[in-house]
Amino acid sequence: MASAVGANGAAGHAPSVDGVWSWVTTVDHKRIGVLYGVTAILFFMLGGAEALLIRLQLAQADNNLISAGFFSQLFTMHALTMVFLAIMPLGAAFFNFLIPLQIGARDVAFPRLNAFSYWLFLFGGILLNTSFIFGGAPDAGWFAYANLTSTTYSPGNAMDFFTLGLLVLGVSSLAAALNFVVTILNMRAPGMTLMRMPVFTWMALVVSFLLVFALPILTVGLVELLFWRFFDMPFFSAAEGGDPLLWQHIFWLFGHPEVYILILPAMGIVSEILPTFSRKPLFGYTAVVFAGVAIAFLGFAVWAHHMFTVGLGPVAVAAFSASTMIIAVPTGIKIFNWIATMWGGSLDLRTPMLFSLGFLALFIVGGLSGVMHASPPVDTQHSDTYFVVAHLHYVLFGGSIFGLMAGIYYWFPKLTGRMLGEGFGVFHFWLMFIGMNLTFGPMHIVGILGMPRRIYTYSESSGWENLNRLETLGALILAVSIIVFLTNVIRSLRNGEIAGDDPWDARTLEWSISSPPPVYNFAVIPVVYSKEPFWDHKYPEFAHEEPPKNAVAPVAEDPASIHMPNPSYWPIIVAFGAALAAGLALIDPWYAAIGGVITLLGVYGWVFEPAGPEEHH
Amino acid sequence: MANLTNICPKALLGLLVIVLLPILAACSAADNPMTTWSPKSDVANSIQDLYMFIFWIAVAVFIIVESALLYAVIKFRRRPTDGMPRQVHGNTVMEITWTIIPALILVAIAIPTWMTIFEIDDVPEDAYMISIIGHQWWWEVTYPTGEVTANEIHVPSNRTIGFTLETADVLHSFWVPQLFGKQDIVPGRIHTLWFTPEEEGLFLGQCVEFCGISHANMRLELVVDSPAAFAAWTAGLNSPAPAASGLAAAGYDAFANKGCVVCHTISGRNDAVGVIGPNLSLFGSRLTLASATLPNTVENLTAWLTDPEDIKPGNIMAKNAAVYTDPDLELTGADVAALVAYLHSLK
Repeated sequence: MASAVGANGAAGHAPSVDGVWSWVTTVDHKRIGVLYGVTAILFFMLGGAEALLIRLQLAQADNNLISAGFFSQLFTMHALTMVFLAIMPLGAAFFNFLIPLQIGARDVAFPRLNAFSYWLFLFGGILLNTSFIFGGAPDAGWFAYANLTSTTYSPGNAMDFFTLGLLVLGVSSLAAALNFVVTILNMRAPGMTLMRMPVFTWMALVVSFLLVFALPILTVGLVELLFWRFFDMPFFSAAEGGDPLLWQHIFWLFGHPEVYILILPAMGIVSEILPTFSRKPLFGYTAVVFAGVAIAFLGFAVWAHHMFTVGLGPVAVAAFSASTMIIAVPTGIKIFNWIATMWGGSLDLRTPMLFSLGFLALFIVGGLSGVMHASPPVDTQHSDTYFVVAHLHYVLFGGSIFGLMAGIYYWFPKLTGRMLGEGFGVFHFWLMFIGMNLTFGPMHIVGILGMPRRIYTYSESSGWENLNRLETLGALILAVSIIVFLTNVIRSLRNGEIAGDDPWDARTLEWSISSPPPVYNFAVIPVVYSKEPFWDHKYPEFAHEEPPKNAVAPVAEDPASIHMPNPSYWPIIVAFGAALAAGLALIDPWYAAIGGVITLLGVYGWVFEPAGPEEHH
Repeated sequence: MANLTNICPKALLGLLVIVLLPILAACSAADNPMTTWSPKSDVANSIQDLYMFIFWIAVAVFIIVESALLYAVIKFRRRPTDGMPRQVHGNTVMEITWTIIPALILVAIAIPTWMTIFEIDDVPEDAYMISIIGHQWWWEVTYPTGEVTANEIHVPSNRTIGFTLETADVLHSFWVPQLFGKQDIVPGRIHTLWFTPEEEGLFLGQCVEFCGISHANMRLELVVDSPAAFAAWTAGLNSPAPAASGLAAAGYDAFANKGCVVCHTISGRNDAVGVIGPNLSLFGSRLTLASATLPNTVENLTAWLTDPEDIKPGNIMAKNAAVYTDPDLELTGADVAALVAYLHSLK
């Protein structure tokens, strides 16, 4: 690995890297990671703006700031944006950037498919949001319970934007997930067995499998909803022999694994940061990995806990209550192992660590409120109130967002070669920590006091007004914290302290190469003998596993001879065709054929695109 | 980062306060009419007892785990004198311990949970069964003896009360927090719910499943009456409305001429038998209007009849009734005043 570090300065056989066109045609996993990340943060700000409008409307009883109809669009789009356009793609950004670096590979298995996933995500996100301009955004909740979604109760095409937009986004995520599964299973450096893989990559693998199994379920539901609305096939219409509950089962059979799709990347990030900043290996690596796997498996067996109040009968409710409570066990294992990782360590409390600690402190709250409404009788008092809103935001904001922020502060130096400002970072952390608790903490109370979710107005006599004001104040603090974060990013990109290869004294392979990494990542593909190869290389006296006597030396390679995949414009053409088909279907299903033709032509060009370096340009 | 140790305990204390505050806040049902922490029925008490059991376990776990986290952060924070920490990779005994202890805690939570699930499931056979039908966005209420009313549900205090729940359109969810947990209402199904009141009085509820843009305006009142008051109230529903006089008489006519009778029923009027909108018998004695969103005052009723869309966006009266869709038939101020007088005379 030392030789890998030394070889970084040399330019490989790399395609040109300048200009907008180079970004449009890029198939480099690191650049696609950046595209995912920047796009996701833009959508995160959009979703945040929607949340702010919601909070401003609710700051006052009987408020008239926002109309009932627009309010429904806001809370629907806030959830859809945060889930599908912010947190999931932020996870994808980390997967893209880090998986090849952590497993010692030069790119993902299918670089053009990777670019296709990104462009389809971008176009799908734009398609979903153009609904605001064309007659109104989806307004039946992100869960879109039938039969409110029928053409009778949701006339207009808002719900068609919902089905078609999510179908497009689903294809994008599915393609990305398959790509990551193949990459992780096939492209690890020699010697990196599955049980030597960094925990982040492990969680990426688990999440990718979750996506591969969960997204088709959503797709089935969306196609049924589409056929109901377009062709009168009454899958969810009780009056015509269908069943509205079928939608709920389908949606949550996707929707609960989706929760783990949103949280496991953050858990993976924290599992990397805590050891680095404690200067100790992860406590109970095997347990943490298998707890993640167990959570994923169990995640498919708990969906009906979202439906405790729909009347499933006592036996089903008792069974799903039990399966839900069981999930608390592997989750607890992770938390205890994380704390044990810090125990006896030497904790460096810089920004990535602060956000990781924030993750832990807040996720514990979300976990405990989760156990409360895992009890169905209790859930009949909590379900569809702000108590659940509090719970889910402690998991998804306190958990996912804090974890992802920790990851941004941790890997920004690797990505850009510069550190994010520490002073700004600490300020950002405290603003976000305080703002988060002020926004979502009182929601526990206001939920206990009976405030339902998704109401655009309430009367003064409800007793909810003061707590709602506090929540809105918290939301404004969160908005400020995001401004501090963005300022930090922009300042640091220009003037940040030069990071060097290994600014945190970290433990995994990505820190063994230069910051930012060369196009080909590793001039010398490392040979791996332990879970923490870079740490063991730096501190052989503290290594857990020593290299075997018959260790194979890494094969040195001239960086100039490394061939990286050529840029390609076919991915964006195929993605554009697919998204266009979905968009045109909103006008008339037949028009979708135009997009279909573009997609087919794109696929044709893609398949016959020359792969060799000499055909390029 | 030396100041971390100063701030962190405060933040943790803040978190604790946030978790424990509901105990104080929820004590007062007078200020918080929808509180779940002031149960006034057998079912609501069973649920609350179970919740308190889980709540205090959660508080204990919260304190233990967050304290361990905080202790680790303070105790093991990096000092200039730190050497390389011991590279501990795990400890099987400890890991098994913190797997088994949470599992046992969860078993302790699961057992009373299951007992409560079955305890509150079946409607007792002697329950007084009331039919509820959810509409966008109001509640239709039918008594076993045939009386029909809307949004203000009276029940006798001396009996177990049962509900059969159905919907006329989309999903709704029926909930009066102080009396029972919520039950969703799914098209094509008949759901049930029950409770035995422990106190007379007025309890507030609300639809808690998103059911379209006026979901927030689908509220209800449940009045637990003494047996005598309940008997008098149902008798009132059965008897014909008193003869209208003066302005109310003009309202009586307007109620027919303006087409109100197409959708609304008023007991004792042969011309007013519509069932699309709420039954308005005894409307004058109701506490609220527009599905329990506004006090039933002359001012509010005038505003409602003048522009119902403004008060309850999307409602079908504003959308379909000729007086709101056809400019030629629009209600005049005098029409509204007469209708208000008439409707308030229905006592």
